[in-house]
Amino acid sequence: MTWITWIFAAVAYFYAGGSWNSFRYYQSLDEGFDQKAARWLHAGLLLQGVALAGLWVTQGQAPLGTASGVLGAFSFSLALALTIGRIKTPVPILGSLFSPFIFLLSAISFGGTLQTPCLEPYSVTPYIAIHIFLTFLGFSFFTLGFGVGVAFWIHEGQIKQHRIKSWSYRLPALEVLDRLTVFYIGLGFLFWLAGLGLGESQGGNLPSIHPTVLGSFFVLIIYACFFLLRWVFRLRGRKSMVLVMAGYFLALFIFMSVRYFMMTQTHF
Amino acid sequence: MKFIAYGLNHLTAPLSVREKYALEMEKVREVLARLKPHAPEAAFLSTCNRVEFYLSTQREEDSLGEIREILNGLHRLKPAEVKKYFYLYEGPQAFLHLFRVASSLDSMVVGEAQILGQVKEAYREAQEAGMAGAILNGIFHRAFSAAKRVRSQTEIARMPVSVSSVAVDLAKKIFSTLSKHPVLLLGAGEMSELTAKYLVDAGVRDFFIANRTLEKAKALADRLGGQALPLSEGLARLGDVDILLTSLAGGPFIIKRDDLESLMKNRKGRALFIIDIGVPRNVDPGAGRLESVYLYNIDDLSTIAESNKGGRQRAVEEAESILGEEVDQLCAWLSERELAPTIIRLRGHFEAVREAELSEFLEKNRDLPDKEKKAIERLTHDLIGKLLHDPTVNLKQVSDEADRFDYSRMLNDIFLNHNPSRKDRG
Repeated sequence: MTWITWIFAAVAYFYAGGSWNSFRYYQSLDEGFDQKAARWLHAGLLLQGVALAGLWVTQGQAPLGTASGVLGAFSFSLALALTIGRIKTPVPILGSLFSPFIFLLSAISFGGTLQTPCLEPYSVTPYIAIHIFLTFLGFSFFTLGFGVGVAFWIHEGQIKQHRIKSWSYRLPALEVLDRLTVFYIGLGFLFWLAGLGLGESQGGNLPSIHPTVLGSFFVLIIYACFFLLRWVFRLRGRKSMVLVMAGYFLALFIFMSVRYFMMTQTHF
Repeated sequence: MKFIAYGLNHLTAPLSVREKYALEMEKVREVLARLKPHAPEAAFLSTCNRVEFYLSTQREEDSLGEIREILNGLHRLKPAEVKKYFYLYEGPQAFLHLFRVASSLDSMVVGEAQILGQVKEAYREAQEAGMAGAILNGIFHRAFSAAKRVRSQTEIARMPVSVSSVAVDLAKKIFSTLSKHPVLLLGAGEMSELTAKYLVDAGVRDFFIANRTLEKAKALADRLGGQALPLSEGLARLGDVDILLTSLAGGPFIIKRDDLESLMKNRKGRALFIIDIGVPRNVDPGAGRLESVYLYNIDDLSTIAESNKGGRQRAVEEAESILGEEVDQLCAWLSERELAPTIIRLRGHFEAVREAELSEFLEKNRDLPDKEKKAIERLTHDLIGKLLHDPTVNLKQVSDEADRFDYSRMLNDIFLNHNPSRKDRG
């Protein structure tokens, strides 16, 4: 194993620690476990950030050439989004839901079983690498926003129908979930917009009518409607969450289509 | 050293007796100071539901005698009359009692949070009085950690069982901080006053109280710290508040669905939590289907409270099992602590024998190469370690106090020629 493999093994180990402590928090509701989980996650995030930057510098190219590299970068962006959200409002249950997913991505990435080429090396210019990372970060925020939105949907339904389940004691108040959804979707919107803009400006084919570009644009339109309806027409509650979910499913479909449904990952 | 818990509580003594023993903080300090010569480690817990002493003492009768004298000095009742209200727990039973008290399993309202703070206060007083030594420290810290486990690992504290507390709990599920959300009380009945008190305790700051009789509203506003309004003005304020607690007498559906529907349009998406405890109902049940309106009537709240009671009973069973584990751990710690001097002496004795024999052997076999000398040294060291391992582990597992003393004495007799007197017995 090379030194970089050891580092990524350590990253997966830290994320595993985060997942384990998040799980223990979920079981016990002991905030001590949540704090431990956050420390493990931060350690993994820091190390992964340094490792990814180190690889970029030493290889002279962003480590996005293989599926493993892409998954690693995505786990990093998801962990970063979770950490930023935690600074805004700590919601331990989110850590319990997403930490195992971050660990899984980083473990698969470390496993190196997906060394299949993902992007043509010549196409990974610094701008395109930043484009990929920004869209990953945007997508990560959308994922968290979706998670919180679904939690709101379920929790609100239970309160409305007078059928409160015991696990809902793990969720914060509806007001917090609503505010957090706006926060995640807002940040996701900004990063997604920046990623889309950078990708298109560097792709050199403006205006592009490529399906992924159009789809990404539609994602932005859906979320813009979400904000418009909230701020102008004061739409709140479950109806506004429908837009959050719709936007996310479209973004997810675009992500999947870039990887699986197209002959080439080049899309402009 | 023996740990005992002595006192009375709401289960053993009526309020008329308990109130005779209720003490203010200054008195608690006096009691501890008086007890100090008779029990080196002691804590005194005095709440409206219990008066209890926790002691670690070698002279049980002397300490208890002094406690009884202190308590008898607080009232004019005959000691024989009040004797039946008191209980005495010793050893593991006393640990379990303290753990149950701290975890609020022994409280009048099971799951309430206040008692843990009161136990901590009692411990702090003991510390300040210089009466919290190693034993009391260890036991009380384990009681706090057991209570924390019970609160975090069971649903005991998360299941309100009264209609009023269910309403407050629901409000907390909708709004993050109640202090930012104004409340309107329509009607000034007993039930709504009780629920309003719970809301105030939970952090509600802005209160409007509207009633058909303004005087009643004013009287309630004085008690709760809200603003009294005539009923018509209160109804007009409906758009400004986030929580509506209504219990007006009179015809059904004083607040209609259509009225609320148009009101909600002006609320700009803000949620409205309606607690309708009026009989007949004050709010049209159809209003509950409106977006961002959460409507609960008295039956809805009672159903949740009843269902929570069942859940809390299950939680109590889980909590008892946690406390059982904690008591076992505490007993193991105390046992280890008591046997530690004997184990250390025993190991020291074996080590001294080993060293003496080894030196003699090495003296006689000076020609041995260093490598072999080291191998022999390691062999004897490991041999002693292995021979003593099982007895040490088994000794630590002895839970019975009398057995611990007997084993300790036997070991001392056989190996160390040191016989601890019965006075040393813990």
